[in-house]
Amino acid sequence: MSRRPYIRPMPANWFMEKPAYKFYMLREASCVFNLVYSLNLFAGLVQLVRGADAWNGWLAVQSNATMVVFAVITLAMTLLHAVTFINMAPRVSPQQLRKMIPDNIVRAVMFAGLAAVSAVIVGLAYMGAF
Amino acid sequence: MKPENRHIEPLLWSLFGAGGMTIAFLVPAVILVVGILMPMGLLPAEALSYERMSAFFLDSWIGKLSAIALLVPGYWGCIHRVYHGMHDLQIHTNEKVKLGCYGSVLVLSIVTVMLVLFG
Repeated sequence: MSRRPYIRPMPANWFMEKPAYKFYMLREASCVFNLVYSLNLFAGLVQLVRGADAWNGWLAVQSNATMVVFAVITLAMTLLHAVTFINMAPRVSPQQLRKMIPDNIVRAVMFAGLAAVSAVIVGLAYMGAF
Repeated sequence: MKPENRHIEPLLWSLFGAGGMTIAFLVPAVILVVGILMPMGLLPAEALSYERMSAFFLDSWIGKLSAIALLVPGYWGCIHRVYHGMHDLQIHTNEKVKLGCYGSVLVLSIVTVMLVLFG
């Protein structure tokens, strides 16, 4: 394959031009935080498989002040992703479906789902039910 | 459709969609529990103990499936967005970079599933 697509020259900071572009890039930046955090969770899985000492070591890393700051930023970015994901969901769903169910109902159900799933996970963790 | 007309992009797009879903619905609560409530001492001391976590995520089927669902689609969703985000940042890549991105996530996914199932 010798594809040579034309690439229109653009300044690397093109998105600084408009607030909407800046917001788009901020939302897209959330994937970097989620990627790093999922690698952190993967490390937790590795340590869990290795045994109790390794797992406790990983838990201690989660309590490190830098790690907590990273978790707070990642949570904020993840919620930004969740909110924009739910808001755009009716627009990317099959349009026949969209004619039957109003956008706001779909969004309300999805936000309720996010709240319910979160409550279950936090509740189970709190009750030590895992 | 002729085999030479098949593309991998629909598969990558589906995995990206699945990842967007799991990150939106499962990850916020997990970060809250592991990254904020536990470090601040707002959970009971034994909530995330080795005994409980290994019994759930490594020994029960619902726990194994939860661990895979929490981690694997998210890897694909993130790498897809990182790869396409490079284009937004005017970093124009090639097939090798693409293969490296998705290939490393494929390896990570396989290792994750193996650890959960056989770890």
